[in-house]
This record gives sequence, structure tokens and C-alpha cells, in this order.
Amino acid sequence: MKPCANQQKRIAALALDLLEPHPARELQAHLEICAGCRDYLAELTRVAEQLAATAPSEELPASDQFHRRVMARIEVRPDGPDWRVIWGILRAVPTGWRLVLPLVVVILVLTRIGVGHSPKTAVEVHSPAPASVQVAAGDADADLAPTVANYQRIAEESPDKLDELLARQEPPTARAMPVYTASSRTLRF
Amino acid sequence: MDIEVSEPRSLLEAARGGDTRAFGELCRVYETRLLRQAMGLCSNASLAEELAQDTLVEAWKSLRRYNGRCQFFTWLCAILLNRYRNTFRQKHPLSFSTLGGGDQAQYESHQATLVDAAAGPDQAAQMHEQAALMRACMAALPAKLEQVIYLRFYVDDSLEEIAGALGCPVGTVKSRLFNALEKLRQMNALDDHQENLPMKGGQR
Repeated sequence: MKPCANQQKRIAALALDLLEPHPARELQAHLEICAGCRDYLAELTRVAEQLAATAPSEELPASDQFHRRVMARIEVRPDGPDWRVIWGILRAVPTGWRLVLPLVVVILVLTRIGVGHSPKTAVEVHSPAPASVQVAAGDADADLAPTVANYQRIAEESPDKLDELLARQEPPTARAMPVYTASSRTLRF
Repeated sequence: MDIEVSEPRSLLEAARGGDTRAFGELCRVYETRLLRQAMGLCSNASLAEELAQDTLVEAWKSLRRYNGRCQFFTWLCAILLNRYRNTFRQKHPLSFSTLGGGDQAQYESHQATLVDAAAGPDQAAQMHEQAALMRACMAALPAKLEQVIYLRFYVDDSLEEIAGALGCPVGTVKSRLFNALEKLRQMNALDDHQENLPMKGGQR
């Protein structure tokens, strides 16, 4: 026989010894007339008794070696910051400063990052090219630094001169690349 | 259930502040009881020691999470069961039928301590089998149900203590206990049913 669906929780509570006296009396009255619920209570009680019987009882005294091993593992300092110590310091600081201190740290970090990424000035934009740009010795135009201002000045004198200068100053590996010439105003491959 | 009078609150506070010596003293208070619980789960002395050590180290690392709503020992036992379930049981599954000779002898010796010494050999054997079956059934429960059964029956805690250790309401603990008991009943009933089935070739 099956137990009554509306009594199952109360029966489980009774088997676990968790039912208050008043509902327990009500349930006992029901159990006297319901065989299904009685069987169900008997099964749950048997399970509860078996659980209680398997509770650990064997003593295993802790040796000094056991204790020393635990302490050795605890006393090894972890890598990285000791957050327990940091938290202890923060806790000691008054509440107002507890908010202000992290903010100050964040602002300092942001300021440092901001300085590292400051925009380049106009002077830096017109700075000379790297020393890897080689020019032919003894040639007056070739001695010119490869700056936009110099190229503009040569182009005003003659577009052909600018072509020659660019050809001379061009690195050998870049010769295969398309070049825009000042004289022809076309793309040359 | 009585609130643990001997619980050294000052040691606990000092340990929370990072005092390893205070935590060491706390360990001394609970080590033997914790080892007994670990032995109950592992049924192997060396594994039990390893499990208890891991539990204490884990407790040290997460000491700030202990909210004081349950006894410190209950909290330790909750960690112990979690570690056993998540790590040890996977590494060292306890299958009664597949245990090797030495381990099986050790396991049987441990189980023998769980049964009534005054019982006769037949009764003792039967209780021994039932205990092994119950442990296997508990292991098959979902984690949340095993937790409440373990803390209620093995650590002998009140509903309030269990709720404090697990961080859930008392009603939830009750509900889980009912569910767990019902599932264990079903497993037991299934096992009884299988025992009564006739084996092929006239065995049993």
C-alpha cells in the first residue's frame, strides 16, 4: 500500500525525530488507521537507524607528525601579495581613509599610465629619420636629411631633382614597391 | 544540541587576524575529531590523514568565510565532506566489491567497529553488509542531500547548525533531509527487491 501523499513529509519528520509534539499526536492517530503510512514510517525509520549505526566511531589519534605537517603547509607563504595582511592594515585605518586610500592608489596608477602615453609633440613628428637611411657620400642633395621640409624645398626647385633624391635615398629592399613620382604624377611599378 | 562551550573564540579571532600559532592551537583542539570523521569517509588511515590535513589547510585559507553561525567543527566537517566528494572520492573511489586484499581487510576491520560487538557472527555480518550498503547509497546521493545527511547523522548537528554551516535556511535543511531520506529508502527498497530476485542457474 502507498502512503497518503499529504502525510509523507510529516512521516519523514517523525522518522527524523523532527516533528513537534502536537502534529506528532495527530500523525499517530492517522497511523492507527492507515496501513500504507505505517509501512512508510517503518521503512524510513529503518533507514534512519541504519544511518545512525554507520556513524564513524573509530578513533584515530592525531600524531605530532600530523600536526607538524599541517603547520608546515600553513606557514608556507603563498606567492604574490598577502591579502590577509593588506586587509588587516586597511581595517586598522579609519573608515573615511579606507575609501580614500584605494582611490589615491587608483589615481596614481592612472596618472602614471597617462604620462607614459602622452601625445608626441610637433618637434618629435619632424624628427630625423633613423640612422638606417643611408645617403651617397659627396652628393650635396644626398646629404640632405630626409625631412618633409627638405623635400618641399627640392620639389620647388625641380620635380626631377626630387625624383632623383628620392631614388637615391630609397632603401634597396623597397625598390620593388610602387613609387609615386613627382614629375609624372602617375604610379610607376 | 549544546553550543560548543570549549570553542576557543579568542583563538579563532587571532587566527582570523593571520596568527598561524593561534590556528595551530585550534587545530590541536579539533584534529582528533576531524580525523575520526575522515576515517569514517575514507576507511583508510593514510588517506584519512591526507584528507584531514587538506581540510585544515583549506579552512586556514578561507577562515574569513566562517560566519560563526555554526560550531567551528561543523564548518570543518562541511569542508571535509566537500573535499572528500570533489577530490578524494574521484582519486580513490571506494568500491566494496573491487577492493584489493589489504584494503578490503582494512575496510572490513573498520566496518566491524561500526556494528554491535555483542551481536552474533550472523547478525554482525548482516549489519556489516547494511553499513556498507548505506555508505554506497549515501555516496550516490546528490551533493546537497549527502551534506545534510552527513552533518545530521555523522556530525550529530542540529538543524540550525547545519543551516549555518551550509548558509541556507532551516526550512531548506529540513526539506533536503526529507528528500535524502526518501531517496535512501527507495535505494534500500530497490536493493531488497534485487536480493529477493532468483539468480540465474539457481544461485543465491
